[in-house]
Amino acid sequence: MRKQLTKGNEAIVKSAILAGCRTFYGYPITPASEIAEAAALYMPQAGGVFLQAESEVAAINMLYGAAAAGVRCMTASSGPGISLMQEGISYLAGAELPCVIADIMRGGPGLGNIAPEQGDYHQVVKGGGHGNYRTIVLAPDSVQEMAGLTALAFDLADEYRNPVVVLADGYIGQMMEPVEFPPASAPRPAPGWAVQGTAEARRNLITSIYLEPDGLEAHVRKLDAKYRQAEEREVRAEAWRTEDAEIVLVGYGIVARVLKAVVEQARACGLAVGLLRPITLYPFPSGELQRLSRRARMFLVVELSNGQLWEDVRLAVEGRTPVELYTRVGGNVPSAEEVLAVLWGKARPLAEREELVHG
Amino acid sequence: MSTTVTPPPKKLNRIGLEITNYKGSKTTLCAGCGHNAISERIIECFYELGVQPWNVAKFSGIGCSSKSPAYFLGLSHGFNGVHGRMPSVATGAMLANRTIFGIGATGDGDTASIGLGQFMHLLRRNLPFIYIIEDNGVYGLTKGQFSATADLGSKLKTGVINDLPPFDCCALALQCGATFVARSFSGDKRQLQTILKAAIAHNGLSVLDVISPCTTFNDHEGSTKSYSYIKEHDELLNEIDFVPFYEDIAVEIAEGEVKEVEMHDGSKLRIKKLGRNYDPTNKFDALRAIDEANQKGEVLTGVFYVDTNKPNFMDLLNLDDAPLATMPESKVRPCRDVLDQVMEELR
Ligand SMILES: Cc1ncc(C[n+]2csc(CCOP(=O)(O)OP(=O)(O)O)c2C)c(N)n1
Ligand code: SF4
Ligand SMILES: [Mg+2]
Repeated sequence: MRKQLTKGNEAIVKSAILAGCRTFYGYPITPASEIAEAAALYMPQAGGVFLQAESEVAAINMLYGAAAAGVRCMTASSGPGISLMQEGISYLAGAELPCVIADIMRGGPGLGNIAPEQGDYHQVVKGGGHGNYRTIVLAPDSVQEMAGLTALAFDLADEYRNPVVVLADGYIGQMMEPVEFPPASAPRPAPGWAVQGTAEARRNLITSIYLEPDGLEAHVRKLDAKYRQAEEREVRAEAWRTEDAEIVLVGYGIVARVLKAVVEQARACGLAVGLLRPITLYPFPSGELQRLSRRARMFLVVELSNGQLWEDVRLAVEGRTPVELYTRVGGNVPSAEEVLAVLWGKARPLAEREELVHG
Repeated sequence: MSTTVTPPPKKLNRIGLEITNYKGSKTTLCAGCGHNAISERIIECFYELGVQPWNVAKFSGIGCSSKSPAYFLGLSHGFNGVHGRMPSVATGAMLANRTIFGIGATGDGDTASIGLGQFMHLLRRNLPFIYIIEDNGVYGLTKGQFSATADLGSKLKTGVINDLPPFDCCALALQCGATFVARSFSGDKRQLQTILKAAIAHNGLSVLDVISPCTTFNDHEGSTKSYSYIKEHDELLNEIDFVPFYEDIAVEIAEGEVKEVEMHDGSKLRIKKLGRNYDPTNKFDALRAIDEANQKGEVLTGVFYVDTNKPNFMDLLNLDDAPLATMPESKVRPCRDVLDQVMEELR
């Protein structure tokens, strides 16, 4: 297929339609509104439905209904709207229903601003709603990945019968890049478990309520087993020049693009630096980080949030290697030079200590 | 020869303030936006009636309209809340300090979409509060999607036609318990001023639905909330006049022509019938008038309803006159008997 110059937010919708999604419920919010606008345009053209809900609370509950009825469905929002969806996401996960949610992150907390940030990490990756559940979280770093990971999101949602979030920031949502879209797949038939208005489907029970403690415990264990399976099978990360890396940078989304430039510049200065870019934020690439920690003498996490990703990297590395942190928030994105200066500052004491050891 | 130029004396209101004391910061809204005109009317009315600005708290949600409190009453307190939740924020703040004079400026998206639940519960409670909907039929701030007050058949700039019926916020307000309900147009200076002044004098919940065109996203041919559409379809329900309590003007009133409503503070609202047989203290008349106008595609403006008798929310809750926020410990500490009784019940 020919490459098409496409805006990140629009790529999500085109890819969703190609993946057989015909149902979009949303509510406008900057910087995610273009997703709803594109869906309003393309969904009816593809024989699907678009509805501007009265709020994000309504939108996610429309997905709850749509998913139960067995269609591929999607919504999109940003920080404050995702907060409002959390209750619904918990119900969808509890009832084991597939859906795709795009979060184009903006600055927070509260009203914050509409500049790009990664402050939704905790509320999305940790499952910001109530109860024992997880959402699978995919983090694109380009418009191409906005398309590719949206398609993957639908497949994973179906396979695991669980909500999947495409977590991007305002930059990737707004930028334009050439994209090669995958071939279209026909909308899949409603799964056997769905409510279909037929005699055969009459017995299908979709619920998140288990009044008996033993029943709920069994249900939570079942969900857990699914998550363990996803942790074994679905982890995705990009390792960039990590083979010989003594310092490993960790960052996702727009930050990873800056970090690739940092890797090149640092290497030009003689530092053996590499990058690990998580593509799935849940399941988290902990194994890969552990593997890298055998050689690495330092990790530097760079994020547009206040150490939220850092917590997961430290959990993965389990104290074997120091994990440093550099953050910018409020809508600021660090330049490669800025990160390089930080890197130098942190690497020098390490190098000096090393000299003492060898000396 | 030297000449001295004496500047004209500054005009002071009844509490000794100039109009500049009621202004806010410079607007950042689009030129010609209806919301700017509403801010100006608020400035004039609060100045003219001599309301103490530092006694006022301005509340808003999120939207262009909700930004507007920054552009009026700069000496007052402001609370820019959460999208659609301003009624709850205002309720919380005003119950904490009942001496606050509360005014809310919000949009049709904030009110009739995401915040409809909060709005309807505010209506039930008759909180002494002025709730202004700066109604343009679209979400201005997020670039012009239809809101739930967009009329059936209204067209967006993109050509999209609205195929759902609108909520009429005045009809909702009437049904759910607001005690002063009016509609105006940001372009009708005199009517909006009069309605605002009456709302300031009203001791209960005032809902003002002010049609306020969005010049950037909803002022084109085919829109039913554009300046030209409203000018063509504006139908006056009544002619109104407001006489503040501190002015003693006796006017001859022709029997049956004009209804005079005495407000809580002694001000008078004079409502003159225009053609229709209409009583602004009768809710059913008001609902019928709104419905008939909507059927005919008219934009009916004026005072729909006034009820000066219903107790307000503070009275229903038996709140003390002293604000909860600053109540001295001596007043909130339970007396010995009450404490003993509590202990007894726990035994
Ligand atoms: C939870 C949440 N969802 C969405 C938004 C984005 N948003 C900001 S203002 C607004 C609508 C504003 O419309 P209206 O109240 O009519 O105000 P106007 O700009 O037209 O004056 C929306 C959807 C938000 N701030 N918070
Ligand atoms: S976008 Fe519309 S509502 Fe917002 S300031 Fe401009 S004219 Fe006013
Ligand atoms: Mg509006």
